[in-house]
Amino acid sequence: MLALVLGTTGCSLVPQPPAAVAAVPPARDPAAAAVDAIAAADAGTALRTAVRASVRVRSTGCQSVETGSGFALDAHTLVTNAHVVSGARRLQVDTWDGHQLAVTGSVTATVADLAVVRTREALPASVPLATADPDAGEAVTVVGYPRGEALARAAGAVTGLVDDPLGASSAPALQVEARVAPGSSGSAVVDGGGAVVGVVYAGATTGEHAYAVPVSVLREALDASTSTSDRAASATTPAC
Amino acid sequence: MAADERRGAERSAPAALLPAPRRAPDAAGGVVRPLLRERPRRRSRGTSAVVLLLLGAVVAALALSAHLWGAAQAWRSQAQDAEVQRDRLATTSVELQRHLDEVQAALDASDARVEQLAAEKARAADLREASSR
Repeated sequence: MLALVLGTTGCSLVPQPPAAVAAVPPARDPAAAAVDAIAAADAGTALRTAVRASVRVRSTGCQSVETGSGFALDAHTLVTNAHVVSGARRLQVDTWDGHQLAVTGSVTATVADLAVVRTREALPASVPLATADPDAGEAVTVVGYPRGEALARAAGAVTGLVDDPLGASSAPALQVEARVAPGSSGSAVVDGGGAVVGVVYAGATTGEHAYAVPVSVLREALDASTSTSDRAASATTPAC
Repeated sequence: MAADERRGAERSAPAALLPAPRRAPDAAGGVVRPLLRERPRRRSRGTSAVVLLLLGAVVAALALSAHLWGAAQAWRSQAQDAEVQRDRLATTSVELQRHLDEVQAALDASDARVEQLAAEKARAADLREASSR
C-alpha cells in the first residue's frame, strides 16, 4: 500500500541515498598519525632524558687525566665504573650542556665494576632504573662519551648474560652488540622506555661488543653502597 | 336504441379533457410497487468509509514521504558537514605535525650544538688539568 502510494506520488519525494562522497585525499588517519606522533615523542623524550642524565667524568690522577662516562640517578648521585674513579686525586663531572660539577665523594662496589659518586651541585636530570634485566634481542642504546669526545648514542641489541670477560667478578655480565670505545666506561645502557638496564664497563677490542653490569647487580651494589659510603669515600683521594 | 343515443351524445359533446375516473386498486392485481428504486443504505456507507480510508492512507503516505525526505536531507547535510570538518581537522593535524617536526629538528640541532660546545669546553678543561698537574 505504502509502496503503491509512494509510487504514485513520484520518485522525487522518495529519499534518495546520499550521493557518493568525493574521494578524500589519501592522507593518513589523523588519529593514527597522532598516536604515532605521541609514541615517537615519548621515545624521543625518554632518550633525551637519558642523554641529559649522562655525565662525563674526569679523573685526575697522579700520572694522567682520564675520562669516563656516567649517569645520574638523582639530583646529587651518579653511577660510573669503579675503574674510572679509582686512583683519582680529583674528580670532576661535566654535564651534557657543559656545566662542571664538583664531586664530594664516591663509593666503589665490591660485587662489580661500579662506583657511586656524589656531587655538590644538582645534576640536570636523572634516569630511572629498569625493574629487571633485559631479554636477549631487546633493543638498547648506549649513551656516553667515547674517547672523551662529544656525547654519543650507540644503538644496539642485547645478546644475553655471559660470564665476566675480565674474570674479575663472579657476577654475570650483560653482552650488548653496540659500538663502544675507551671513555665509554660508565655509559648507561638504556632500553626503549628510557630506563637503565646496564652500565658499560668493558668492550671488545674490535669495538663491536660491549659488556655491561646488569641492572640487577647494580641494584644490589646501590643497596650495599648506602652502608659503606663513609668508609669508601676516602679511597678516591690517594696521595701522589 | 340506448346505444344509439349514447353515440349521439358523444359525437355532440365538445372535445374537452375530462378527469379520468379514479380507479381503485385492483384487488386482484396483488402488490403495490414504488415507482423509484430505493438505494441500499448500508452499502453506501461502506463505500464512503473505504474512500475515506484510502484518502487517509494517501495523506499519511505523503506525510511519511515528506518526513523521510526531510530526514534524509538532514542526514546528508550533516554527513557533508562532518566530512568537511574531518578534512579540516586532517589538514590542521598535518600542519601541526609538520610544525612539530620543524620545532623538533630545531631543538635537536640546538641540542647538538650545545653538546658540541660542551665537548669543546670539556676537552679544554682536560688540557688545563693535564697542564696544571
